[in-house]
Amino acid sequence: MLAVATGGVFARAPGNQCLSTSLVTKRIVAMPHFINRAVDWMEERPSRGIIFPLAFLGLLYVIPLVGVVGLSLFPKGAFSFNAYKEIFETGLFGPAILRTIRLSLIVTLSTLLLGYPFAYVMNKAGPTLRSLMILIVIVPFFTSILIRSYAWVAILGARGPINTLLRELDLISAPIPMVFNELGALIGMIQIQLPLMIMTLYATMRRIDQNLTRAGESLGAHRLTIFAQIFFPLSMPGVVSGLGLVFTSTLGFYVTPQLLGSPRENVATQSIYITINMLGDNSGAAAQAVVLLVIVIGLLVGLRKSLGTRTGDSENVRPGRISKSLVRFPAALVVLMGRFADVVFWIPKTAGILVTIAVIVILTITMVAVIPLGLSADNFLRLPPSGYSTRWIESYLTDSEWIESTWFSIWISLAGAFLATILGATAAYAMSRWEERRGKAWMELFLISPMIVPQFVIALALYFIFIKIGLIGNAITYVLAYGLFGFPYVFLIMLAAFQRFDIALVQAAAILGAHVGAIWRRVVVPVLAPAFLSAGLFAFLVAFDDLVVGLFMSTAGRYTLPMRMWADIRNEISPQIAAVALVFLVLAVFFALLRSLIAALRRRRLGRDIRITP
Amino acid sequence: MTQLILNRRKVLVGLAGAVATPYLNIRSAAAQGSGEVVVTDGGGAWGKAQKAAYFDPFEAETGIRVVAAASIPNGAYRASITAGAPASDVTDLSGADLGGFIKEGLLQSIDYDLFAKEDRDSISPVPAHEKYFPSLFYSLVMGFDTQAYGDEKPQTWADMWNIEKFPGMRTVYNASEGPATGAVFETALMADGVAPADLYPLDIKRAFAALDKIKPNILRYWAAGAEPAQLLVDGAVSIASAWNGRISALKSQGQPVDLSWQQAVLQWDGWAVPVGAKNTENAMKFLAYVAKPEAQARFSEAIEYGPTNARTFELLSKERAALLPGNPETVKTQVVQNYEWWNQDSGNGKSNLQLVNEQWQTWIAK
Repeated sequence: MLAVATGGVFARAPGNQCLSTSLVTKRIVAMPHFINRAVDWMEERPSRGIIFPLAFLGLLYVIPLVGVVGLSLFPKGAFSFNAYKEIFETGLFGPAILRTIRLSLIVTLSTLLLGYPFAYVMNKAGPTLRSLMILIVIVPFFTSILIRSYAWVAILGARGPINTLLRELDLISAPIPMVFNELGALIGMIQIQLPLMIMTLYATMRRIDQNLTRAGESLGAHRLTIFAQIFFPLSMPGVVSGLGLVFTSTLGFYVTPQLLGSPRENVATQSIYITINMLGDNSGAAAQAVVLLVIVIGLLVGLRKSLGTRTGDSENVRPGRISKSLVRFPAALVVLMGRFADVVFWIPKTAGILVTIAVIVILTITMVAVIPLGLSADNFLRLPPSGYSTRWIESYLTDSEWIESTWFSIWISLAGAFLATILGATAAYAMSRWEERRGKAWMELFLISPMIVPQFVIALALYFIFIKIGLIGNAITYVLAYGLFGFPYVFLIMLAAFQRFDIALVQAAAILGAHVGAIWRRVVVPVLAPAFLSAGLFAFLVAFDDLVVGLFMSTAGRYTLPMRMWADIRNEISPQIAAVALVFLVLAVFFALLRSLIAALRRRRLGRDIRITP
Repeated sequence: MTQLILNRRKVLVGLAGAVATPYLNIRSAAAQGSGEVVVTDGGGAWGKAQKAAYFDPFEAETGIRVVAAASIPNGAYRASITAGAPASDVTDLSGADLGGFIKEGLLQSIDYDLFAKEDRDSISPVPAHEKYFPSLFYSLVMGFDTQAYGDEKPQTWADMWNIEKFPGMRTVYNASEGPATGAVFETALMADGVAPADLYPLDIKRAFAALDKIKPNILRYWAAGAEPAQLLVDGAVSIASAWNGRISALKSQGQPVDLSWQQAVLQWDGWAVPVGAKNTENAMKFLAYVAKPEAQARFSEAIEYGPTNARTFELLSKERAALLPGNPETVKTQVVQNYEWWNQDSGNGKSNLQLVNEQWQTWIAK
């Protein structure tokens, strides 16, 4: 990767590099003195660049959350704990919180059981199968959470394909209720969280030194023993980190339980929403949000060791830490079983393959369902449709309101992703050059926390702040919120990229006299272009899929696309939103093909002697 | 600390406003009948009907531009008023929600001087109010799957509750989002034998006891108007409480569903102007316009919501009128929901709405 990248930079324009450097130097001279001093101060220690993302997070993340705490403590302008007392007295929020924790636990364990075999197969697979599997993991991001919930209703419904099939096979007499209950909410949430679990596990598995398992093999260990004694313990950090990430982020889900679950099983966010909207009790809602926030922060601090990114740090993949007795048990068993172990090995292997296939189905089924739904000729949701036509696609493309919302969503998401990319990349660069060991884990934890603290709570917090300073109604509110939500994703992707990045390039450029701006423009960005692109894409998708910010920030004439879809789901039963989803699916496939075409052309141009690793 | 900063901010904004106001007035006086008015639209088919019947013709007639604003959750709307920057100049609130907004002093008095006298006087059966103006009627009716039952179709709420005679799953409104909104308690009491005239004050305990009886057969507690219609078409439920327009829309598409107007609960929304609206004068002109029978007739042609100006029925065909909630024929078999009772204090500082909401959440989780 690096060989390719550096080759690219130097092949591009070795000649005019000097020219632009001298231009930059001239411009610096013309700058006021204090800016020069500030630049010097930053260059002295590159980790100081962290102040920009920190200032942003301070203003748009810490202060709003502190504001929510304040609101909960000043119900009518005067200090009191009444809002908290009310929570206990009505006794409704407690059960909701317990339920939220229980559901999150089930989701977390299910994603682990489903995700581990998948990640394992992905790790062992050849390059073609692996990139195909990565694609399958990423694919769900291209259909919005709203549309996925909507597709689940059609798939799992009483007259949906699953119930119809079971009935035709005479396995059941009455349809099984799979949606509008806890099961429906769980299925929806598991699908959404699976990619997060798989990617976390896969990242750890890839770092496991293959020589260890090979050594085990050459020493004659059974494959069952190798897995139990070498591979599994080494993958434990990924398991713990996946469990922590999935569990904490599931606590804040709103849309999926609202659309697929039952009010009999209201989760914490639904309770907050009812309190603010139906009861008009802002302080009560704030107090509930604070309780949820305290739980999440408590978990974050408790799990900080396993949640930290710590990429490139080889300690965490050392087998020594794992309790010996646990590991020895299966090994002894394998010896006892003798040849029978081969038969036993076959069971988990088959189960693993079956689970992998199940995961592929779970991840892609909603996207597949969107195709017939979007081409339906019916007036309402029916799967499969009674006839096919492009009428709903036409009605989307010819409706000025839908198109207006689409453009609005695209541009605010682009602007938000741009902001997130700049801040996230700056933070990742600073952290990758952070030399002190102390405080690093805490800082990283803080930087990824906007991904884990319920978006719902952050949106509520931002809403109170924006309304106080009169910003509501301004599109900038979306851009700032999306910058915040996209930030941790960009940070994680760019941090991984910087860890593989040869910092000597930056130093070389600096020695040659390049200014910070020039180094970024001419070295860092071109070298890491693919990482920047995927980070930006992720930030864009997070923003484009957002409904929570939209629910709070929408005002006159500012209707985001997910908001319009939300209104459509609530008001109409037409396949309209599936048609919208289909249009975007086709666009996504088109861009994905275009991208691989460009990549293929570039590979040819670079020649065959340079090996390319993804 | 935060509090202090924000207060100072508010003062600054207020000051800026005070300085700017005279200039703004001069501008609007110079260009009378111009400018704009921001109106919350209902979205979907409702929003389209509003645009065709009210927004576009009003704009053409007065030259005042109508900006349609996205409908946002009540909590967000309330907060926008308290912050001094209402999300729109005119909004549509349900009859149940209006009470709370009025109690908190969030709505302006309507300038009825701008209204034609005969328009104001023909607002019925819910009269025009100082703080709001009824915008439309809709009905919570009983809808059913015609294929599920033979010759004898369910007609009353008691039939919906009679699982032996009319087997199958049910769907009722999720009262967590508003105890009055889906008339769950009114329908439960009528099913239990309370005469429509004796409904209020509601015997909530008795209503819960009645709800206990069909709880095992409730498949889904619906939240959005589209849901019961979808559930009936899916065959997931056989009887649903639903808003009339949803069911009749399916019926007109040839779907095997029907509805009963008997004991239907007549509900209504009101137009209101929030305190601090930027274009108050235009907002009042807009309200005077939507009170006209001609405008309301256009609206009720476009969507199955009943007009609030009784004279509108003179302009509608008999067939169309028969479909509309609040029409002189079906109104006799209907119950008008008593929002006043819902907003009354339940005795401990909480309104009936708030108290029943809490009880419902406890009941539903059981």
